[in-house]
Parts: sequence; C-alpha cells; structure tokens
Amino acid sequence: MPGDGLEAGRKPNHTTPSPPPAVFRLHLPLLPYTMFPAMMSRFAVGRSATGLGRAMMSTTPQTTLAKSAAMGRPMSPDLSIYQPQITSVMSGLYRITSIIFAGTFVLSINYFGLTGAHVQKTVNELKSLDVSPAVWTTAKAAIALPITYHFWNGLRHLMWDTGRGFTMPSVYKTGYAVIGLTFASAVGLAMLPCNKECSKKQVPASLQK
Amino acid sequence: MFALRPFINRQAVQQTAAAGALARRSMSTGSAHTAWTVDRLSAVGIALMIPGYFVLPSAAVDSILAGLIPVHLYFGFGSCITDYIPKRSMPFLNRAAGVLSLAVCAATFVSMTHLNSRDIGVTATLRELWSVGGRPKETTYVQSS
Repeated sequence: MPGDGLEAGRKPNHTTPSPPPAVFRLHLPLLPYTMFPAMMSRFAVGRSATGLGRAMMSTTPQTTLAKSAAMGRPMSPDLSIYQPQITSVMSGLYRITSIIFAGTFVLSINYFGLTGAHVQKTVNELKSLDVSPAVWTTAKAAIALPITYHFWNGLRHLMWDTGRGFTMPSVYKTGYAVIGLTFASAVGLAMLPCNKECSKKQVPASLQK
Repeated sequence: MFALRPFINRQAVQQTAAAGALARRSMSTGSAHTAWTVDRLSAVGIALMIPGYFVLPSAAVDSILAGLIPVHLYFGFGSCITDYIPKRSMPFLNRAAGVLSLAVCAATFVSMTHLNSRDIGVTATLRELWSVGGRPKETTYVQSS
C-alpha cells in the first residue's frame, strides 16, 4: 500500500555488488575451463528476449551449465564483480605473457629454421633499417617485459612447487617483488649496450685524413 | 625423476588445502607425477642456463637449451589446451591442438639444432638479435679500409 513506508524501506534486488571481503581473496583464473564450453553452448542455443521460453522449448540442454547459459544467467565465477587483486591479475597476466613470449620465441627461432636465413646477415639487415634508437629501445622493452615476467614469476612458481610461500603476506610480498624485478630487468635489458661489433663506427669525414 | 623430493616440504604442501590435494592427487597417479617432475626439471634447467651461459662454453649451453626449451614449450602449450580446449566438450579439437603443439615443438627443436650446428648457435643468435638497436658501449672509431 502506498504510504505505509514499506516501499521506501525496500531496496531493489539488483544493486551493484560490493567488492568481496578480504576472506574471499581467492585465486581466480581469468578464463576457467568451465567458461569456454558454456560460451560455445550460448552460441548454439541462442539468447533472445524469451530466453527462458526458448530454452524450455528447444532441445533440452545436456548440462546445467548449458541450461544456465541458454537462459542468459551470468556465469560463475562472474569476474566482473570481483575487485582486481594482485593475485588474480598476476595469475592471468602470467598466462597471457607466457603465450606472447612463447609465440615470439617460436616464430623467431623457426624463421631461421624454416627459411634457412643466416643470423648474421639478418641482423645486419635489421641494423641497416632506418629506425631511431628510441624506437628500438621501446620495442626491445616491449619484447623484454613478457620474458622478464615469465622468468621472475616462474621462479615464484617453482618456490610454490616446493611448498613454500603459501601464506597470504608471503604471496603479496613475492608478488610485489616480481613486479619490481620484472620492470627493472626489462628496462635494463632494453638499454643494454651492444657487443663490440655494433659499437664499431665508421670514421666521420671530418676526422679522416 | 625423484631428485626433487627431499627438497619438497611435504608438510607445508599439505597445510594448504588446495595445494595439498593437488600434491596427493599427482603423487598417487604415477604418470601425472612424472610429467609434473619433467616439467619442473625443464624449467629449473632453463633457469640454470642463465648463470651457465657465463660459466659453460656456449656450445654446451646451446645444446642443453635445444633439448629443454621444446619440452618446456610442450608442457606450457599443454596447460593452455587443457584449460581452454577441454577434452570433455571438444574431444577432436583437443586432440588436434595436442598434435599441433607437438609439431610446433618438434619444429622448434629442429630449428634450434639447425642454429647450433649450421649457424652461430642459439645463445649467440639471441645475443646478436638483441644487439640490434643497442647503443654502443663507447664510441670507438674504426678506420674504414
């Protein structure tokens, strides 16, 4: 009834969920394997305004996941409701950067293997390109970041594999250490002075006899 | 295979429920445990090649890397396939991806061996590629002939 105060006190059910308390700082992979088939089934069954009706009328989905997807229910874990945490973000980035690193390595190594190109010749061709040193350094930093992150976080994972460092403070401490070391070593690698051959320069005309 | 065992703190592993369950499961099934150990050994071996580069002669490091990196790649690809192309819902794609990753790793092994035997070697290749765009250590002028 209007005016009895009930409506004013009632809150809608669909409020934005608040970030979870610290107890729920769980390890959440970015794309759990359960999500992928569910997304596929969403394409297969289709989503419409009458999602529920269509889901009940069409052929009965085999799994609970497919049924939920067909009815347009949000997937669990619904990552968008979680506040980004150093644990989950670093875990997801580890997978993504590892794939980038592996792709870079496999493509560049197999380039020489498949085309039979000579390394020194290719390097000389690259050096003769008209690219400013700043661009090279930036590009090398972009290539180095996934590599250094894979190295330092890989060491962290090897530590975990021996059963050490599983407490929450330890996970955070090593996480920050990995982030710092990743950026520091990537910048160091990008700015590394090159070996002797590259430092040879032609004598400028002004200095020539 | 079992060289890592004395180093592994079993009690600490089992204190954490998830890690403990994982360890028990993998240790009860022989092949999974062996694969896990091979994966870790390849990772440790590759990491050791960074100091090894400065200690060992380059040819030895090149050969070890050519043996270990394709194995490490194969396990890494395998994790991705298990996670994103699950066998249960996509049996054919899962199998095809596994075969493809094996082919890619075999090709990488062949390419690395090619670099080691016919060219300047894997580590020298990476060093030379990285020297592109590097600033000179000090400006040394060389008389052009």
